[in-house]
Amino acid sequence: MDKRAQVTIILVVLAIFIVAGYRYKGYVLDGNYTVLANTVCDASEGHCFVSDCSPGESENCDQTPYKKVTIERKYAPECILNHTCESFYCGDIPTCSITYCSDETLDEGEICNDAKAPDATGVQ
Amino acid sequence: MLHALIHLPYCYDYLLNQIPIGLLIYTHIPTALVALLFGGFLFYRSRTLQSTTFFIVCGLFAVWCLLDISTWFAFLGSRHMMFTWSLLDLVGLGFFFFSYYFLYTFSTKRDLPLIQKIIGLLLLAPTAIWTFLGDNLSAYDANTCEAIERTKITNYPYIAEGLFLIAVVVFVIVQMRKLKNPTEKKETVLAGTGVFLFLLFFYSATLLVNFLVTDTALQYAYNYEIYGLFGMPILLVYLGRLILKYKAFNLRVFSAQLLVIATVVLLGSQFAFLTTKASILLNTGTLVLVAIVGVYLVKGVRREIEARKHIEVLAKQLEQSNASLGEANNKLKSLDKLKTEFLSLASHQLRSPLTAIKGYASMLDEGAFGKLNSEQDTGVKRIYSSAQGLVNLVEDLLNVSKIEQGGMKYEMMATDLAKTVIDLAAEMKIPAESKKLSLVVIVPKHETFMAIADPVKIQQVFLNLVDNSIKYTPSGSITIELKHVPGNKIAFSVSDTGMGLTPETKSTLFQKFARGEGAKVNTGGSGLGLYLVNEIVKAHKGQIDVFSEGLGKGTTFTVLLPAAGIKAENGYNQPV
Repeated sequence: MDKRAQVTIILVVLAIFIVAGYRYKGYVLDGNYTVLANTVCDASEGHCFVSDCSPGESENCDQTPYKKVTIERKYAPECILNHTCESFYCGDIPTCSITYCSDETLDEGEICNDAKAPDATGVQ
Repeated sequence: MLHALIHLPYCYDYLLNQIPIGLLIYTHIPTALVALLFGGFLFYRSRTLQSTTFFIVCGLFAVWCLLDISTWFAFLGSRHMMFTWSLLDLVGLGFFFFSYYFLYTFSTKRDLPLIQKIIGLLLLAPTAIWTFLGDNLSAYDANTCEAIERTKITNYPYIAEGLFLIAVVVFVIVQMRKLKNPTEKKETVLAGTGVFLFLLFFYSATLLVNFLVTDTALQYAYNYEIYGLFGMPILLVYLGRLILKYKAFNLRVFSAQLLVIATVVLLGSQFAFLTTKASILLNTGTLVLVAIVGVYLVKGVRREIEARKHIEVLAKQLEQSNASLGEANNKLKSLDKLKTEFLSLASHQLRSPLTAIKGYASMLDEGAFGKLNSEQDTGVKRIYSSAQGLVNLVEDLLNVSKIEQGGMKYEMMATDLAKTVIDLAAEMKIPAESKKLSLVVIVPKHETFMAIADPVKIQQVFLNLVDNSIKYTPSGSITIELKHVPGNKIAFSVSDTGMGLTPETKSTLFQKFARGEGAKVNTGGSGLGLYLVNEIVKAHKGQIDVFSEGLGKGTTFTVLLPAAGIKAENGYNQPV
């Protein structure tokens, strides 16, 4: 086979390996990425989100109140990923933030559980 | 087994609601496996640039399939999922680039030009850099168990992939104009269509998913991605056709191997759907059976192909041998012609001085130059008989060259063979008696033996045969017989009690310059007499046979000539 062809092939394959290796370190070993998760919300904490649906009309309608958590994977407890936390607070966890329901934070298909969004931005 | 690997039960349940796991395995694993086996097989059997680039296409595609299925299986852990998801665009772009690379090398049989390589690598570079920096994904969404892509960055691969797709189409069109050979054109169209459909399927599916995710936020939008994988089997079908029809990659045993591999992979992929123990057991049994039979089938086909290859080599050698034999034969023919011409010329030149020698010897013997004493008389007689021997030889040579040049003239007429034989017997009586041999002549009195023949030539035939018998019979008798035989033929035979013949001698007796056992006795013979006899008999539509029980047991020569069915008139030959 032509030497220049070999060089091209090796170059591309090597580049993919280098990128993959570096990403493996970043994601798998270090857990350097952000996790977005919904977790149980106690109305006493602030305004919680609920799905905008009626249990009778929609099959998968879960109207459990929730708050939105943004956290680095390396600091995130497993219960966040599995949606099994009974209660979750950022506390001293770095890069962790919790979003409560407000006009600014509402997405399509969700409402605030008090059906009335507070004035605040809702970010803890 | 799968349950032991579940790290995120939420994602597992989410996936079950989204798509059947069996369907994911069925669309990803067999496709990746078949592509890898196909590419690996081509690479193993034909280490060319074409097969190498195709192997890389298959390899990257298989890696993409594994990465993709891993992103579906987020329940194995979000870290692995993020890792595999981040690489999808880069690997996908990689096999787009190498698909074009493969098509180019396949059609042109050359490496990709440097400028095209640079453009291709520049198209890959942004995705490689963004992936390296981790900029293509913004976060992991634990609610949908999916990665969140940075749209502005992840939209770039679609542009680059689209450009590679356009490059494939443009390349095929340009090649269609450039190529002159119809087979090469067809090969390029087949390979180009295969590559185009493979990339188009993949591209359309990923583009559709991207649109559904970003513009409609459709739940489970990624389900449509699996349809993009069907492009690979289509490409393999096209390449399979190229291999079978046009012997691409110089493969021959391919069809049997492909059949076995495809069957094994299809049976293996059934496991993704089987649930009951009985069906799993049955499928395992069938799979093992097919694999065993497949191995034997491939071995058998390979053996047959090797045998065929061997025959092809032998046939080629035979063809070459035939060609060289033909050439040698032509050379021999021209040499033989030259030799005949030389003989003819030399014989004519020899005849005149021999006639003079014979004439003067005869005159000396008759006393034209005075009476000779007994010693002189013996010497002159020897000169005469030697000259006569030479004249005979020259005559034989001249006749041979006439026969070979097709110049022997026959004056065919109704010939009374009985008269010819009786005259001959009278002529040969003295030589026979001088050797104390009894000469028996059997010619039925009340039968006619008329044949259409050249009387001079036929007499020469009979004379040669009787003369031979006298020469090679030391004692005993010689019997000359003329008779009718079935088939309206006349048989002239000469039997002697002489030296006889071995079977080996008999087979070469009528060839030019062939000498039998008589060569030891009669060293002066030319070996042309019987050759001439045979040729003359053949010219009379006759046949000559020789029979001998072996050495010392005598020989019988029989000449069969067609009878003319004409009555003899006073024993004269009549022209026809």
